[in-house]
Amino acid sequence: MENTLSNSTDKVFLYEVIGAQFDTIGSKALAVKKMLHDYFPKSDYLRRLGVCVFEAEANLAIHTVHGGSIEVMVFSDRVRITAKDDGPGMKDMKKALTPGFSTAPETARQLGFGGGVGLNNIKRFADYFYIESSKKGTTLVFEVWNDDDPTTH
Amino acid sequence: MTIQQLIDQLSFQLLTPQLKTDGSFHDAYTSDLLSAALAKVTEDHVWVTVQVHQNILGVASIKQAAAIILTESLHPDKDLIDKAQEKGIVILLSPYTSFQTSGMLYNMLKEEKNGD
Repeated sequence: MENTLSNSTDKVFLYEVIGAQFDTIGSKALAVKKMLHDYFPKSDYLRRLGVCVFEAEANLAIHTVHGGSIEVMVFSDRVRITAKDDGPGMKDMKKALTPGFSTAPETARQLGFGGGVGLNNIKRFADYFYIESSKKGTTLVFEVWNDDDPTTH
Repeated sequence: MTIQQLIDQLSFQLLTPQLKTDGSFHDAYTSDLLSAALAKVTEDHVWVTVQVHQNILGVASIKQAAAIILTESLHPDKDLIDKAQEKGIVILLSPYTSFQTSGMLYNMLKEEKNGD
């Protein structure tokens, strides 16, 4: 499948994630998964997407000062997620993408976060992955393609 | 193997009595790292962990795990159990360590496989 949008869409949904609040991590991912069920009923696809959104949500809650937003764009054959925040950004992108490396605080690690595999999970389960980061913030974009035979839904 | 068989044979305590225990699974995954569980657990797994906070419900729900098995008798608070029942996530309590619990599960699943 080509990495181009095959169909225009006006289906855009926005979710806000609060910074430094760990106990609700996963709630937005579940809300996104539930919302997308009407568009993509296949559970395997929704699980892949759910993993990616969970990780993006966890990053916004753990690593940002003010939280951030998760924008969900629904296309006929894919979903594009854009997670944005206003800082403080990643000091070393290469390290941040290295499995096992994490800057998560001890309070998050005690809850089982901060294993340093979150971004790699997204890379693994998503079909398209892009990230840019500066002191002013981080933008993460990924897509999960529903490239299975729709008749198997 | 069904959740009920675990309760019957290993004396695990069912913390979510409002939920059905006839769900089946054929594998288990043990980790306290949420990202690892997110990556590996499927609807065919039970997930073994010592984590007893709200976020485990998100992980189990996203991956549609057959059940969460909390080990070392680490009892979660009532709020978590209520939410698990709302979300339809079966939670069992094991008195054993995660290592011992995993070993028991491994043997049971192996026996079942060999018996097929």
